Amino acid sequence: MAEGLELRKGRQLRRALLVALFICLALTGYVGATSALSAMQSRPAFVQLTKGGCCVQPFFSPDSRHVLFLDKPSRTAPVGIWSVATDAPLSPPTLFTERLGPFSRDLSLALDLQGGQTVIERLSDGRRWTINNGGRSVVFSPDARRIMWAVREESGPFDVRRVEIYVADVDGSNVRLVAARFGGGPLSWLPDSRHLLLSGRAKRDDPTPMLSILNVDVGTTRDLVAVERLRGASLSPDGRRLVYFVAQARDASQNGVYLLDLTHAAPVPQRLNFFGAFRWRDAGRLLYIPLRPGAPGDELWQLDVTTGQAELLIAADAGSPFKIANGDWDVARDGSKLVFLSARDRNVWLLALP
Amino acid sequence: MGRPARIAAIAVVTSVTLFATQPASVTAQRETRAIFGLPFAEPPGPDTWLLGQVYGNTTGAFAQRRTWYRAGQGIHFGIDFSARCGTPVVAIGDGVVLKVDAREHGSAPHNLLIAHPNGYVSLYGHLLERPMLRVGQRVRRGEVIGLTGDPDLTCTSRPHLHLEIRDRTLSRAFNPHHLIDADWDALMLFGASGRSFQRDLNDPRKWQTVFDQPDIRFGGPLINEFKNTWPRDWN
Repeated sequence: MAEGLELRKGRQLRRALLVALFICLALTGYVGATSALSAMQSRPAFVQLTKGGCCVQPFFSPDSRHVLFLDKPSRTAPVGIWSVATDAPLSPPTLFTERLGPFSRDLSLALDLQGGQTVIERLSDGRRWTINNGGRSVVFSPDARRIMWAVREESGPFDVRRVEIYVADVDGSNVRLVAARFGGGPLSWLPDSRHLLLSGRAKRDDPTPMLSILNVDVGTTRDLVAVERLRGASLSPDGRRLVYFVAQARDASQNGVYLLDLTHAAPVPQRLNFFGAFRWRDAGRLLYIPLRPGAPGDELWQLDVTTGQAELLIAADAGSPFKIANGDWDVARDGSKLVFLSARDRNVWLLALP
Repeated sequence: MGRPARIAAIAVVTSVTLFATQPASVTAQRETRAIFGLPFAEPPGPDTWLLGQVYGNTTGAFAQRRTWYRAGQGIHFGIDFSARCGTPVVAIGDGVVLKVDAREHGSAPHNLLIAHPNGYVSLYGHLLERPMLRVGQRVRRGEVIGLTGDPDLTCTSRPHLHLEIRDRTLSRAFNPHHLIDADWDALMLFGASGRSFQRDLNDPRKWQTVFDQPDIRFGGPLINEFKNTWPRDWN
């Protein structure tokens, strides 16, 4: 009996201490010591940008101050890239340009197809010129001074189809075949606009595709690593790191998401501790959303790739707009914001990143 | 139960009955029509399966609208699930085997059709081998009915399951994203291709999510021969 009384007193004391601690934390505005607590205690700043179920595939302007999307808001409005300022949510979208792109990174050049011919337009003065590449889409180099395109074999198994990679000056001159691969193809320009990241087999009967960096000026190739079934390759903004995933490999132990340090002479893929969608926030931070089908909302994590430390930024519940639809999300170039299409209402929402 | 409530209950029962017997065009909310399960017992992931090309007017289907997808009015008339060759495929609902290796319905090298009591037929394509089932045999939802294969017959090119949902006459295909109970929004976040839809620039909001893709009638005219389109119709 006396023992029971002591236990009860002890419980009451612990409860009183917990209440006192809670009040102290509330008064001082303390946020939890762990990242998970931090995410749940601070209210994420979601802002609805559009209404009426508009619009898919939103992306940021280069200055990170506007969200852009392809639209034709009314029957009489022109089709084009429309814009909503991030500091003017729910304001009527304004026409950004009637050119649809693809664009160069700085939005100074736009690509178009006219009469089966590839055309580049300089948006500042409307000057247009034709690229003699058989009406194929091209990818601008980051400095917008070069273009690259691929010519693909049209039959046979996809993993061994021949892909020819061509580079030219942006005015269409100086066209040259810089590489050929079997399966795969060009993945991305590197930020210096002199190197291309490639995947694929150098010879049709090579056993495993290779990830390589090609110097388009001198034609030399640096092989990085052999990767079977490489998918979703994404280069960090400074071009020093690559994230990709492998799925359904013959050797199941190879499946997963990997980080590769491209500056290393012989880089070793580092397997990351999640499987999900990812986007770079900046050169040192990767945002990711783990695959959690059936979860009421998405989780947003941030990985510091320099330290390996992961932090939960958002843990959305059923009432949150943070359930991404259509796979549509983009991160502002300045790393301050994220825009997404919400599965709740099919509108575009903005999240100020913590 | 009061009279209005009885009337409402009768209306609900009537509409449920109609739903169950007459596959309709895509007008209802997906919540009320997600009557089938996924074609895999295992959850999605890098070791099991991932969503590949979705149903509808994908950019990939548009590029092949006059060739591969001509029969389906130019759109991808099923869902592709990426999976290694040999991954067990399960029935998405109770039913009866309708056809085995019916080459006239495509999806080589092997396919299987299951008729369901609600009037739909599910088609499982690009199977690795001829399913060990006979026409008329009953199958249960979740029962293994075949193995995933590769249309290019290499198992290294593009191994996947192609799943269609048709009507009993096999002349129409429905948008399976409405009919299969799955978290499509989560699944859409992952994978590498087949995620975006071709735009008709005269009406660029048309058919832009998996849930607003149109049903098709096999042999009908192309529905995506857009005069002005984006992405451009590159070579």
